[in-house]
Amino acid sequence: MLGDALIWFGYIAVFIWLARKGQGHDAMASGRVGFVILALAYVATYISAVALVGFGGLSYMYGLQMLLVAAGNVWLGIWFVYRYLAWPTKICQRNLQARTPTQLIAKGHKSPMLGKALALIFAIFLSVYASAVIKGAALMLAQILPIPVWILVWIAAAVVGVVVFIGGLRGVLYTEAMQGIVVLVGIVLLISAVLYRVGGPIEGIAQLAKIAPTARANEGFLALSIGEQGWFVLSLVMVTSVAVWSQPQMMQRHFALHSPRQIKRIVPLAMLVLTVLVGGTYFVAALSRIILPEIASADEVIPHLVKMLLPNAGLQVFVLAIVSASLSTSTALFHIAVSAIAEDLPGKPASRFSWFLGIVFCVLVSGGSAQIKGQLIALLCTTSWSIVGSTVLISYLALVRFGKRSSLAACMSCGFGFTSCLLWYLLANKAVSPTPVLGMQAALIPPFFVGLACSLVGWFTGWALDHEGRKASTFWPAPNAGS
Amino acid sequence: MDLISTLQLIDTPVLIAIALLVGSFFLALINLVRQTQRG
Repeated sequence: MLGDALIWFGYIAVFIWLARKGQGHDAMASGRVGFVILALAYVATYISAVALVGFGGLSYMYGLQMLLVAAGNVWLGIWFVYRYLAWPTKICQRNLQARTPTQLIAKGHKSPMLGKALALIFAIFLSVYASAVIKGAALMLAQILPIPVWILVWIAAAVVGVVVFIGGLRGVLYTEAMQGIVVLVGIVLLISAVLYRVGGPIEGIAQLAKIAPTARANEGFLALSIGEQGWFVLSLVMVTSVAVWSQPQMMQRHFALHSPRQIKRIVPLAMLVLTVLVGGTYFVAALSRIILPEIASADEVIPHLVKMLLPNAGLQVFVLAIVSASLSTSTALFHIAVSAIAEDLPGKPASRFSWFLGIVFCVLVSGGSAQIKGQLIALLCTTSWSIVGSTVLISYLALVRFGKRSSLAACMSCGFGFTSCLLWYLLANKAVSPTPVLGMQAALIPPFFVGLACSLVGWFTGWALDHEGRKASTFWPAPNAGS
Repeated sequence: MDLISTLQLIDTPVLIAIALLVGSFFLALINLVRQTQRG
């Protein structure tokens, strides 16, 4: 008991100490930050409890084919991003003197109206999305603390708000890095325990091969499923590895870069950590089918596994890891949502008071949404990643990768992407209705794909119509030539 | 069961994913060691 208390007090003390690193800095600026902090912060923002607990559970259901998601995350979500997008984003941000991702897109495409619309989308979708992440942390904490979940939700939301208020972007980066280390320790513990129990990876794979196919793993647990199930796994690869490129909280991590040389140091560390986190978790979660009884809910697989295999101290560390994964993601989401409210919507630099008001709004929305047991909130949470991705991705890539700016094209691209993705969720997705309006075949197409395709059509239509804007559209050389 | 015969049980797309993950792990590790040696 004393040991457990020490673990938690130590965690909270380091957490507060790191959050104070941002004191005295502009809330939107990171200052100079080392490559280790940036690498760990990027991974910690990327990975939340959804990726570890939710997708870990899916690995139990689908088997080793979920490693395709892990490989996609590592190579497309990290290597590709740092190879082709991170430094161009930094150059654009510096040239435009953009303080937030919203300002990057709005100033880049010379459209203040687009900036206001994006700020509104980010403020609503990201603070509601943060509610799901915070609820994940509260549910995990409830496993070891005798406190009702609704109180834990408010505590977690308040802690996230305090970190963002005290630390600003710099404090958020430092606390995320610390949380990244905690997540790594927890996951390594779990991986070691499962591999020991199943007799090592080779023996585990051999035993998994003997298990009969199921409805989800219809070709067995070592193969990509055919039909709808296999398509589901491949769509997860794209949504989690490509939609991440334009998530504002991920974009903002590139603002803290200070040289292309730093990127060369960030990439291997971030790839190594993410490979262990997602590759390791999905691999052992798939192998856990050998040792676990049949579990109906994917979300219960990892907690069940942890309780079965880890001693009490290990359980505390693992809960700490999942809570850390959730808090790191929610601090990043809060920072973007608060920036949108305090600076992007009013169109002037945030004051300390407006920053505080933005935080109060986010705490109330996130904490309140997490208390509601309803379809709407769950829907907003699951749709946020795809909707934000398909709204911003094309205009972001056009700007930072191809150096093209057009107010009309960007507005049409974002508008088409947002509307089509949202409509596809409402009319064609089985998460909304078991019998979608557009039929079961349409339900197979992920909303992100539809949103992205429509956003692309919107961009080219706007580009073709924007005769005047096109003449002055290229505003700097394609920023792919290093510094 | 040895490594080769176990790998033969795995479907090609999953095998590619495993190769990409193992590759990223060792590539990243080698790069980090080199960076540390260079200081």
